[in-house]
Amino acid sequence: MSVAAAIEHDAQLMLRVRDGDTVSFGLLLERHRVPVIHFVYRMIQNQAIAEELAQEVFLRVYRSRATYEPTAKFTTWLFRITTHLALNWIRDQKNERRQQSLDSEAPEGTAPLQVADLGPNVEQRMLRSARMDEIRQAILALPDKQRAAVMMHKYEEMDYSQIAGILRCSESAVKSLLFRAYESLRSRLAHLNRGVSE
Amino acid sequence: MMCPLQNRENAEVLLDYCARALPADTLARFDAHLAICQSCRQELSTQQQVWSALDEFDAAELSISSDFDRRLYARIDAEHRDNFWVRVWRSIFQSGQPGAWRPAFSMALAGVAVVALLLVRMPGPFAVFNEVPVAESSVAGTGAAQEEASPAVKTATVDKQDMERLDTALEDLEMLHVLGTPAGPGKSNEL
Repeated sequence: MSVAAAIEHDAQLMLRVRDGDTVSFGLLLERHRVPVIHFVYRMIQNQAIAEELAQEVFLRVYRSRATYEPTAKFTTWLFRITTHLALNWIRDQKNERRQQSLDSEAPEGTAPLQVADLGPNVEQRMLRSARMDEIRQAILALPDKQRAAVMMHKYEEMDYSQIAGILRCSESAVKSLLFRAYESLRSRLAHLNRGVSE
Repeated sequence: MMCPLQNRENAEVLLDYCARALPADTLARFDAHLAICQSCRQELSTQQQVWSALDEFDAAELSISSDFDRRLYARIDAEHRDNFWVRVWRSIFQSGQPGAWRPAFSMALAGVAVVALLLVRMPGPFAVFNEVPVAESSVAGTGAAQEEASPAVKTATVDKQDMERLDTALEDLEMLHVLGTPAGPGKSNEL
């Protein structure tokens, strides 16, 4: 199915949901469940909460069926809800953490380094695990909006105008967010790249 | 092609190149530029390394719970059983449009403020909340001029009339008392 056809198809399905067709809702869920969960997971790094928030996203889609108008792409609308919920969750967590003033533990949701067994390739696994942790930390260190923009640009392959529609800002603001985000990632991950090239 | 590192309008070319999102003609021109620009090659190389690192971070290995759909449909069913007001509350504060409740909430708040102001300040049906009730009998016969007067003036006038009527009633009682009692030496003279 071409991109244009898929967009049209999503809107048609949602209009049918609006008319009370629950089967169409199931089809929408089937098409967008994985991207939504993966997006939230990359944003917050916790699978259980990612699934919980994704459920809330689809619940809100269902609740809003009566007022749905296909004025924008369905995915723009869907990811606007998703981003909104993810950013709210991150904000609430920050507030909570500030209040609790936790000591220097790993950020919530990040898996601590664990060595499960002492197999022959334990060193490689530890290196990979450490590398993954570095990448995760670099992503988590990005300001929330920059992180959301990178996730949409890199993993959802959205163009600037769609990201702008989701974040409710101008295209030039999105480009600026992305430049700054990738600049931060380049400087934070530079040592990994040096390690690889050496 | 202008160098993307020296021209802000072209700055996204490097990102789009990594994302394979450049149109064919721009791609050809940028490839030609890369051949002669050392800085762009360097920049592109570091951006591609970031891109590869992010590829490693892909969440494709994530296994989604098998009961995800079942839990979602259970929540939808539960919502259908919720009462009307709970659904209204949700439709206002948790609609699909993030922040959609804010204008509605602001308008509702403004509406409540206006009504409260009316209750406190306005005459007419709301006067009952901040003024002494006016007896019908006391208003009757006060004339057109008084009917046109403001509520505050009207209330003051009514209060004055009540006092006068009370004085008159007390005088009448005193008179009846005097008439009904056997006349004393001094009082008979007075009559």
